[in-house]
Amino acid sequence: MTGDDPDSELLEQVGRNEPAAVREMVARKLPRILNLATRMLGDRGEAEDVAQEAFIRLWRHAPMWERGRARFDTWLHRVALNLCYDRLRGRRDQPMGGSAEVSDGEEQSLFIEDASADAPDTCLERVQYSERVGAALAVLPGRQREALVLQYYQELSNVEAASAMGISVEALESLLSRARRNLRQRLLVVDGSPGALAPTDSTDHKDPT
Amino acid sequence: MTPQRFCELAQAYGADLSRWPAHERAAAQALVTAQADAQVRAALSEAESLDGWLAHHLVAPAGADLLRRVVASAPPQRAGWYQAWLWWSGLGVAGVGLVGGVSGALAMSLLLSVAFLQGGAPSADPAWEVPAVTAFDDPGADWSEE
Repeated sequence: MTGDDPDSELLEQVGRNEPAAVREMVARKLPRILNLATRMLGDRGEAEDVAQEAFIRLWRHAPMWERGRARFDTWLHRVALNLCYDRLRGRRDQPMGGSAEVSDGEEQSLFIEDASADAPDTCLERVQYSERVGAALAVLPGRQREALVLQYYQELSNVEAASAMGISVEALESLLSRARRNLRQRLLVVDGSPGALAPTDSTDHKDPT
Repeated sequence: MTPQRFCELAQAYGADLSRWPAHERAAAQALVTAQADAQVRAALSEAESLDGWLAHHLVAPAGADLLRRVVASAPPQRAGWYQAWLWWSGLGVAGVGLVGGVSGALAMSLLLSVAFLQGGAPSADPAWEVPAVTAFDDPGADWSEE
């Protein structure tokens, strides 16, 4: 399964500390890890700290990496997820509580670069949509959020996502179903009216990674 | 694939079949194409609505400062075998030069010592002048017997 790992060659070069390979690895993986951590933690500053720490571990492990032992991207996701869970455990007294967790300013800063090219009305709508989704993600149970982020946003296959979470594919499917059911309740049911305010285009805002 | 299984998968993986388990896609696509089952159509429509929402959650890309910090956290490049080879080669050349210099100095000191022992102190009398002899010259006659 890991014989065709697309990151193997680059990882070997990183293991030799080749500057060009280091830059390429950062360009390739930092956006993914930052997206993952931001969605898991709901806090940009903490997400950046997690991303940095994940890369420090990457630099440390690269020279010892055994080709074929594991898929590198899955391993890196596992590292980042563990770091996220360390932080989530650290704020046990302050659990993620939905939209109150992320201030308006912080939330807008998450996507303003992407939205800035649009007309003001469209931009505002996107800000509102994104805030609602972010708030709904924030109140999901941790494992459900993790499953959804890995499968939907990180676009890992079911096998990769299950591997990163250390669970079976069946358990992953169960978590995904519950996550989506919970989100549907929060996003598609407004004042008891299913589908209200639901955006319809599902392709134009996917993460570039 | 039964419509029931299709619904389960749509509830877990959403409406985009490319995100579904690889071995289920063909059968799922066949059900979608047939459009015969109302349950399948409803499950797909519901999943599409949620996918539409999820797609609106955006994360700003990494800033230049974060990129710099992460790149800077990588260890510096170690000397590769080629650099190591060049370094040792340079050291070898320097070592050979040093040995040559020391040998030359030693040879000169031996030459001067031999000249001094054979000729004694320089004399103004040309009869007592001893031609310079090196270790490579024919020693010639034994002057001590004269």
